Parts: sequence; C-alpha cells; structure tokens
Amino acid sequence: MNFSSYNFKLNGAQHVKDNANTIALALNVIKADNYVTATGKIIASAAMTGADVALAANGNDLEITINGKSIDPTATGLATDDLVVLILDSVNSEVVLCLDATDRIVTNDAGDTVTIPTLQTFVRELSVV
Amino acid sequence: MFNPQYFKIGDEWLGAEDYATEALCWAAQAGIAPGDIVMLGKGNIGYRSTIAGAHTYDTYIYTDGVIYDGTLATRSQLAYATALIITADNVFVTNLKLYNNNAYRFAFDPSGNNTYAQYCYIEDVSTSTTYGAVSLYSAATGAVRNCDIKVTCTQAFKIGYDKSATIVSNTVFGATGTALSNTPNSANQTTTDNFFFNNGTDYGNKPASFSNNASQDLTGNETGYDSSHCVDFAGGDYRVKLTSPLHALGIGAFFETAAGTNQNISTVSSQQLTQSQLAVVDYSQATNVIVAQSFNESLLTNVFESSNALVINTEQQAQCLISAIATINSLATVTSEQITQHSSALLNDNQLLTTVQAQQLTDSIAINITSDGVQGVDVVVTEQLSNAVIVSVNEISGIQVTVVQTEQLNQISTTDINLTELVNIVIAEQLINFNTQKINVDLTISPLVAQQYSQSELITIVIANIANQLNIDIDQISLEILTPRYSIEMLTPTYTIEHIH
Repeated sequence: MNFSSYNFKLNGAQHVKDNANTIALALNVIKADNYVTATGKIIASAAMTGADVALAANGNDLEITINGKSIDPTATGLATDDLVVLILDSVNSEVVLCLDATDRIVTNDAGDTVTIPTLQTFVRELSVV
Repeated sequence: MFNPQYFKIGDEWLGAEDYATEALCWAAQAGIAPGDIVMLGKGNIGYRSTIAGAHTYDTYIYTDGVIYDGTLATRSQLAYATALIITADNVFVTNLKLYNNNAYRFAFDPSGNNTYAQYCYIEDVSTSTTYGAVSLYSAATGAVRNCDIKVTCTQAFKIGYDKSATIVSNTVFGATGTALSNTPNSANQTTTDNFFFNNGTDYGNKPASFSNNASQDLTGNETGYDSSHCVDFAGGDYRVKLTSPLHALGIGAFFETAAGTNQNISTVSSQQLTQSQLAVVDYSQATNVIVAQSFNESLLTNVFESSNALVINTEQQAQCLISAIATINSLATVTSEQITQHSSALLNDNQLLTTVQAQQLTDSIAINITSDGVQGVDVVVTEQLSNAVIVSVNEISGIQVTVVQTEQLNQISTTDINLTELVNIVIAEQLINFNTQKINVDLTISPLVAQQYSQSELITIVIANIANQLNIDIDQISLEILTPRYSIEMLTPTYTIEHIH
C-alpha cells in the first residue's frame, strides 16, 4: 500500500521534512484509515526529525530520501500481513506517507529488532496528460 | 558518588598504578581524600589485606573496564584480591574476583556496616571446615548479591547468630557440607532468589525471609535444579540457561540473554506521478491505456464476454491494473480530462473497437455486438448534445435510415438493427480533432438492396431518402458516408447494434 496525505500533495516534499516526527512499521494500513486507526496498527516505531529527510534533485524529478532506523518491535507480524512503513506527524495526527514494504514475518522475542532501510520516493516531472 | 577520587591499583597497570594494593590505597587516602575513594583494579590488587578505619565518604573497589556477567570470558579479566577483610563501613566491592585457599581465612570477610559484594566471582578452594567463602558472621549489615560462589570447603557462607545477612541472587555450588545455614527464623536475615546446587546440603536453617530459592536437593523453594541449568557449567559459563525455568523465576546470579534477531525490512521506491502514465499490457495483444490526471475514476468494463472488469484508477496512482482483454486484436482507449463517465462495450472475436471520448461528456455509450465479423466499428461520443431525434425511412425502397440529429444532444439514440441489416455509425458535429469523431447517423440497408447498387448509388439513394423524407442535412450525411473506412459492398448482415445511449 502506497499513499500520501493531502497535505503532502498540497505542500509538496518539504511537508515531510517540516512535519514528520515518527517512522513506524505497521500492518494492513489502508488509505481510508484515520490517524488513530493507522497508528493502532503499528508494531515498531521510532522518533525521527527533519534532519532524517533529504530532498534533492534527481534529473527532472525531486527525490525524497528518509533515513532508516533499527527499532525494537512492540508486536509481531505475519507473512500474510501487508507490511508498510509509515511516516507520521504526531503533532497534527497525520499519516504523511505510507510506503509499501515486502511482507514478512516479524518476531518480537527478546533482543529482536527490525531495521527499516533508507526510504526513497520521487515526485516526478510534469508531462502532458 | 560524592566528588570521587580515582586511584589505579594492582600489578597489571604495569607501573602506571597509583598504589600496588587496595590496602595501600586505603591507608593513604582514607580520611584524606575529599570525596569517595574509587579504586580501579587490574590484576592482583591485594593479598590478605584488611581495610580498616574510617573515611567520611564511600569507598568503591572494582575491576577497571570489566563487567562480570557469569561467563568465563569476563571472569578471567577480573582483578582479584585474596582473603579480603573489610572492617570499614560503606565499602562496596563489585566486579572483582575474591579468592582464598587458606583454611583459616574467608575469601570475603566484611564486617563493617553497609558493606557488600556484588557482581563478583568468589572462590574458596581451601578445605576449611569452619570457615568458608564469605563471612557474614559479624557484619552488621553485610550483603552478597549477584555473585557466583564456588567452594570446595565445607560451607559457602558463615553466618553469625541473628546478624544481618542479605544473600540475594547468587549461584553457589561445591560446598561439602551445608552451603548456607542462617539463624532459624531470623528477621534480620534475607535469603532470596539464590541457586544452590552440588552442595552437601544446599540450605540449612532458614531465616524468616526465605523465598524463591532453588536447590538441587529438597531444601530450597524450588527443588531439583542442578548444574545442567547453567549455560555451560563444565566450560565455566555459570549463567542460568534461557530455557531453564529458573530463568523465568529470576533465580541465580546471571542469566543467559537472548541473542535476538535483527529483521531487515525491504521497501521499494515509490513515486508521486505528475505525468500521465503509459501502461502496456500484453495479453496476447497490446493494449495501450493512457491515464490522465484529475480523474476520480475511469472505468472500462465488459470489454469482452467472459472477460474481467478493467479498472483504471488514475489520480496520483502508481500503477494501472489491466487484465483479461482476451482476444481483442487491439484496444485503444483515450480519455481526456474531466470525463466523468466512461464507455462500456462488449466485443466479440476479431473485432476492433476504438473508443474516443471527447471533453465534458455527460453520457456514456454501450454497444453490444453479438455476431462475428471482420469489420471495424468506430464509436465516438460527442459533446454537449442535448437533443435526440430519431427518424425512419420507410421500407418501400428497401432502405431504412435512422438518423439521429447531431447537435446539442443530451442522449444518444437507441437503434435496433436486425442481422440482415447493415450498420454504419457516423458521428456528426461539434467534434474537433479526432478522425472518428462523427456519429449520429445510423443507416440500415437490406442486403438485397445493397447488392443491387454500387456504393455511390446507395449513397445517392440514401441522400435522396434523407433529403426527401427526413429533411436533414444532406451535405453532412453524404460527407460522412463517403468516409472510405466503411465499404458498403463489404458489409454483411451479421451485426446488431442493440443499444446506444
């Protein structure tokens, strides 16, 4: 599942850098979920700042890069769950970005961690409809 | 700590030490150092030393840079003191090896107030029958916590009658006699969370506070636990196994920790499209779909009988889903901005459908073609139509013409044509750019009639009928019929256009 918030579309990539403060791993989040519902599906989360977000030109596009995190999970996930990475703005209760991840089992035994890789998304150049 | 003063002690500082032993450090600094005395030990830090006297602040003795965790690896790095006696108050010994091999001494003999050993390895290899590894015989508030204690003598602890003795979370083994014997029911003594095994008797007299202690014999609160509950007792790893029930009970000095698994999450790059997306799907044929912006939804369904629904979600989407176009030779769907509805059509084999929708359409068009054939049918929906006029030519001449007036229609006419009739659909006015954007005249010509005339003759007849009987725009109709794509001679009575909205 990939989607972005209305404010992301409205304000662009800078919106992520200015407002995102949490990166999380979650299960089965859909676009129709509100913030409370979506965050209720989180199985691992960590704080992040605008410094974790890099905005750079990539050809004619804009590339958004978000630093990954290694996190101690708080719950487990099944291989049948739709695993996603959320970029959240907890101050304004907004799911800024939802990025699909490869589904896999996530365990939560003692010492277990999950490593979210560096995230990459693009805002493409305009073209004829 | 209050303004701690650090001193290096022990022979393994290799000349960098401040004092050779803990006793020398204490003698020099007790009562003088303007804060806590902190002794950083390396190697041998003292032999049968006694720390006695007073210091205003606390005293700490530990191995520099080593945290003992019950494994041989960390144990071998511990600084060590032999037969350490502490009579001073507030002396805290941590992460040290306390050793004795003399039958008349203890490895650790604290008797001051508030003096304890924690995270230490205490070993007494003497054969003493009256001493032991640890003396809490005269300590006012002595304590031993989280220590591995290995003995070969009779007892591990020597406890004074009703003296305060706190023995918590230790792993104790090897005593030939009773490893620990408290004063019966003493309220001053506490024995909890200990793991005793391989002793003559694990626990003797018990104090009032005696709980959650494990034993190999029947004297503990939890019984029947031996060295097999250590990670590798023979190899010197005295930690309680992760799989042992004692681990969950919190019994013992040190515990095996789960290694844990790092789970890498994989993601793929995403994109926010600000351009149209060309998706090519090959399902035995090529299908081009051009999806535009600002659509809420474009929907093309029932492309072919038994085919699946085709749904194209356009707005800001990262993918298009196209499936089961079946055996249609080619399908090109071009949609433009602000269209709110889309066409639906059923096609059979070998037919070509080209659907072009212009701007600001409010109606949809559905075409069902039920017979096979080789001709192409072009359907184009015009814009801003508001009126529909259906007229018919009588059948006397063998020609039926149904004309739908072109301008300002709100809806498209419905035309029924039987299998013996010929169909042409020509789209009329107000379309600008597309070469197929001209519909709204439906002609039906019986094959018998068609066979008797050439194309130009048929056109003339049609025009004449239209002109004479229907009062419609002759020039326009004649122009469209002359479009070379539709050859009247080739038309066969195989098609039915059942419904056009």
